[in-house]
Amino acid sequence: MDEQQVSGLIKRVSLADRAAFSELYDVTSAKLFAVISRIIKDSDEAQDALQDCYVNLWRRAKSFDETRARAAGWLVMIARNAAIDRLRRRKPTTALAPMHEPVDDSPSPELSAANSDEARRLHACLGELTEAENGLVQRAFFGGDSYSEVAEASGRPLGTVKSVIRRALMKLRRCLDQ
Amino acid sequence: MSKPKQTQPPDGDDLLAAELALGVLEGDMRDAALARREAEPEFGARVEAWSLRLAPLAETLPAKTPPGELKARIEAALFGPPVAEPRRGLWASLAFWRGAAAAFAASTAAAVFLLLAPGDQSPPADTGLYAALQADASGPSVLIRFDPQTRRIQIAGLLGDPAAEPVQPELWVIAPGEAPRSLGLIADVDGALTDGLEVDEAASAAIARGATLAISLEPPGGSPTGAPTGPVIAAGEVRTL
Repeated sequence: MDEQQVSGLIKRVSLADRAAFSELYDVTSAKLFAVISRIIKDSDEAQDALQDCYVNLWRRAKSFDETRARAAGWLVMIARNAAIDRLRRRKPTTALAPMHEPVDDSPSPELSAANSDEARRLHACLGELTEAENGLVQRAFFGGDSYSEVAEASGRPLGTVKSVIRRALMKLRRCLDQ
Repeated sequence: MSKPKQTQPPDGDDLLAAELALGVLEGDMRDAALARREAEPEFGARVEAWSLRLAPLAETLPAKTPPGELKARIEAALFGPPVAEPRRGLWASLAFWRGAAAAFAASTAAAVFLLLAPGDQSPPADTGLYAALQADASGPSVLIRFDPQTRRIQIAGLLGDPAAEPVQPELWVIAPGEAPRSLGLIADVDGALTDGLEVDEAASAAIARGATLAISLEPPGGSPTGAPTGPVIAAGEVRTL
């Protein structure tokens, strides 16, 4: 994603420019679908979430402020919110818990190469966490898992999972603020 | 934890915002946090800040192209059924645009200085290109500055009285011998002007070569065909100062 191009397109979309919306979709949908598909495994439902994502994006484009947010990060935020909203909405009625993949607490190897300054800084700070802290935060980020899902999948007590993730988040905050 | 920081220190609210942004909350806790995000701007800002802090993690995810038909479904959900057939009437005709550009060219020089005079002198190293777009004395008067380096267009001026029907002004670049190419809508449906547009490389090259810029009034959402469909309310040539 070219930051300047995407930022310009979001600003055009904020004026309800349909051609800009079409272009923005072409340039960003593969990235956002990747984010959503990791959270929602079912393909039809992932597509529904991508639709939610772009509908929200169309409606909220006016709130994008390039002085506060990078365009790529802002889009990832909208995509993750759409996916997790969908996931949590259906959860209370789900009697059969989804099958979990085996848990691997170590960070995914694909995350080694980051290209923006923000990403490099974030990875540097994640690197300062313990392996368990880093692993659980990334699992929650990429998989969209709730506390209880992380606990269930990792075989750790819920209270332990909560305190590990909370401690990790506060460490991250301090590290990123420096 | 030793010395005070300039930013707000982590506290209970910040932790809750982080948990909501990460997505680990569920049930009543999540509902309550979502309600606070909507009701309390400060809490909402914390949640957004956390979302943006974590978002760069997604940068290295390999792309995954969604099914091709999904785009049409999303656009139909937002905009209704697609336009049946592109309309290519008078407004898409190159001859018309050439004529319009020539007719408006005479008024441009005066308008440039009129609009620039109240500000500071142009800096000597200014490499920007300008176009003053004007229809007639009573029509809209728009000054456009284009910086080839940043490929950014800045727009200043007045669009005139709002039209009776809902329309949006769309900016076009017409390179010599080429069909008009949209640079985007320049105001929302209420007539509030955008502060700037980014331009792609092809359009940037056309502007730098010396093109005509024009504004047409289009249905809300912009031209449905990719070519101008509404009346041209202003046009002018690009020039250096």
